[in-house]
Amino acid sequence: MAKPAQSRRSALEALTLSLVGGFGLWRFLTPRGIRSAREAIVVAAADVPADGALVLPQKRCAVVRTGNTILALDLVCPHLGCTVNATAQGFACPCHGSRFKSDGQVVAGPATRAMTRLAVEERDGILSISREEG
Amino acid sequence: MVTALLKHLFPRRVLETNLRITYTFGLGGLALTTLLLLFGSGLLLLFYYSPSPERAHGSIQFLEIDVWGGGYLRSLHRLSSHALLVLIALHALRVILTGAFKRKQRLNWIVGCVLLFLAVFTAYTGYLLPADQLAYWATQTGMELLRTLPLGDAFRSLLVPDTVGGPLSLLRFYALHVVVLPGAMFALSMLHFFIIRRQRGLLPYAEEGGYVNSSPRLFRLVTWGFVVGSAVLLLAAALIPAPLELPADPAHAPNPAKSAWFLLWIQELVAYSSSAIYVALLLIAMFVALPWLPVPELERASWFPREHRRLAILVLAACGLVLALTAVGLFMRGPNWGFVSPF
Repeated sequence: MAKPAQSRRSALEALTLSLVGGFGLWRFLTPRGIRSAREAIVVAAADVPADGALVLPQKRCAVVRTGNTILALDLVCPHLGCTVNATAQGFACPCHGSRFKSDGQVVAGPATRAMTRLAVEERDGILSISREEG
Repeated sequence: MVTALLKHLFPRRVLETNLRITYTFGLGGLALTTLLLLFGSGLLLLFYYSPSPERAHGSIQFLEIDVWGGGYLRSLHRLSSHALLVLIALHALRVILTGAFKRKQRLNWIVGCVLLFLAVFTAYTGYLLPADQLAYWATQTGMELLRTLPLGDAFRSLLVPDTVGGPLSLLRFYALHVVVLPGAMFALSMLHFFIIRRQRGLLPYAEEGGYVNSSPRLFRLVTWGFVVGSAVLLLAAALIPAPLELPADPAHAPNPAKSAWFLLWIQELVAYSSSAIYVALLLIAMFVALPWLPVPELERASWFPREHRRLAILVLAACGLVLALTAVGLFMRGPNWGFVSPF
């Protein structure tokens, strides 16, 4: 135990050391050059069933067709980030039970936001979906 | 010589009344026994485990199928980790309900809290290592929980610089699980015992009775605890094999996707509302701050002291809540986290 006269100095030393050490450790443990895959997802428009959905679990996204409109939805649950499953009525989260309509609107909580819509571009029957909100 | 060294972990003399088994039930000693079993079995598992996403699951399969005693050791390690969490929780409950957490015991209470958190964190990092479906999804849901906390994203990027189960995160969980956290737990548990020795034993239990030498009565108790505790776990490991599911598949979540059992109560809470995580945080903060709560300090320990009656009711209610949430999460949650009957 440090005597009171020394305690402020040793506390300052400890504080400085842990700040410098903590900063260095932080930099060491967060390397550059790691980016999550942001490549575009490409599917044929004909693969999306009429009034149905094409689910791409590997890409964590779903393409939904209602009438003539095509919609791409991020399968990452807006509540806590689990991957939602497609159901007959829309989507449901296996982790906390949120439910969504097939257009991504919330039917039941705990999610409070709709599923994220992804940007879709259609050219010559090919859909390209990018992970930017659309 | 080794025995002499071990004896120095304990006070030289102890109050005779503190030796009554109905005071402590030897829960702290049993927790240390379990920790030692974890070190032993974990050390042997190191000889076969391969911490890379491509080979982790295969190395566990090899251990289970081709290594004599491999499956047994894995089961022993898994059951011991469950037992450690339960024993630490019961030990903490004993300390609370006998009133042995005020002034003098404050420092050791904090050391004990850190030990409990380290034990939970170690168990959590261990969950990912087999790289099967259970491992992947339990870790994934746990990480999502972490992100709901303030600074959660920063902590997540420290633990998981790539993706859950990716090469860097698996290696990090591995390094934490086999070196960093066990090292910290060993050091702190030695400190935990040393503080008791410095304070000449536990808070006195019951009336009267003087000091006796720790040898032989305390050491006999410790030895018995060690032998019986080990025997129970060694036997249980032979009866209950550790499961190994299919290799982790990020594209296909099991439905429902449950986190590790000791975090299930928090998952169940946030299934009602994301902000319910603060209920869990408040409970944990109150637990840590217990010695600073306005409850009277006791001269002597006793079970359910009258002065602490309100605290006891509060603590038992909180335990009941956590247990109930865990039970609902374990047995009553089906596909898409819907209610199912447990029967």
